[in-house]
Amino acid sequence: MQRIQRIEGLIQQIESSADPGTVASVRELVEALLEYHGAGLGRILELAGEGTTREFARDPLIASMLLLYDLHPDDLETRVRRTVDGLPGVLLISVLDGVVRLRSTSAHTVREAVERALYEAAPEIVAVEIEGVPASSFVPLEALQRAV
Amino acid sequence: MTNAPPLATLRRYRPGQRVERCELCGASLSSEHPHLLELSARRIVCACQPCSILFDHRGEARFARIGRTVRYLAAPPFSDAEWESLHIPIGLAFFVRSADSRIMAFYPGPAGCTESLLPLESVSLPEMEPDVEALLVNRVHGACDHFIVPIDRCYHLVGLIRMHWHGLGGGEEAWQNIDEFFSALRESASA
Repeated sequence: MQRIQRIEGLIQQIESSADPGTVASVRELVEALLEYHGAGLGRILELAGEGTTREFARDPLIASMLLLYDLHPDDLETRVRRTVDGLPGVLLISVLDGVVRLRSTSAHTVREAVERALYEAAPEIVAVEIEGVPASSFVPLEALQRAV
Repeated sequence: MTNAPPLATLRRYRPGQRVERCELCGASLSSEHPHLLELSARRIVCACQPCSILFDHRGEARFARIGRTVRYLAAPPFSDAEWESLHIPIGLAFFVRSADSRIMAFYPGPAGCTESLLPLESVSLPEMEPDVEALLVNRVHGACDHFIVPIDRCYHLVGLIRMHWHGLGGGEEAWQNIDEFFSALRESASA
């Protein structure tokens, strides 16, 4: 995840400081690179077959790439369920339209930790709602951009 | 630096994820975002919230912010005879008053939006914002509905018709889309 943090940090820096022309060129460059790698990765998985793809998905580095390109063999709910099962003090209520609803069974549940684990396993999550835990300080980037 | 969840930034750049962007600053937009009217070209410009406020009537009034209020007019501003005298070929039209008090009438069609060239001096329009609000008339299939709408809603209707119209009569799909457009409009309207 450190590599991703670095890339995303750089993108955010450019998005927030460069002139619109440069931002547009950088956007096209990143899109073209992602398209190229995504297509290649898709082809690799096709040739590798399902068994090998699942093996790939168990490797954290490859799993993060599969998540980036929506190529992960497990669907959203499976990944959310697995993550929640591994977290103490929370129960999964539902996954609906990208919104994950949880119930806290412990007074020590830390929202940020739960969210971080979930977003890492399932970046397509739209929102995480935890009953019994105060609201988050985790602000989606889109919301920040709108507020600037 | 921001606190965005991991991968959120990069995922916005995936192929097929091209999000709508503010045409003034390039910020990514959610599906619900403000519009500005570029006055010289009568063109709708997608904008983020800050730009829509910043550019509203700025720089010799190049842009005007388009609002969101829809009003349903219980009392039709035209009599049937007045409407007939306008010779609008289909039962749909919208009227705009420009900042210099000129009245323009447009009607949507399969090829886009046509401006009526008939004289409109006799038309008296209800109170509305110049350029960015329109009187939208729906008299198709026996309806007689009049709305004051943000101008982008009119362009949306024009787009729908252009996209779905087939043959001479439009076809079922086109009319279904038009009906849905007007029911949504009624729902969002205040009296």
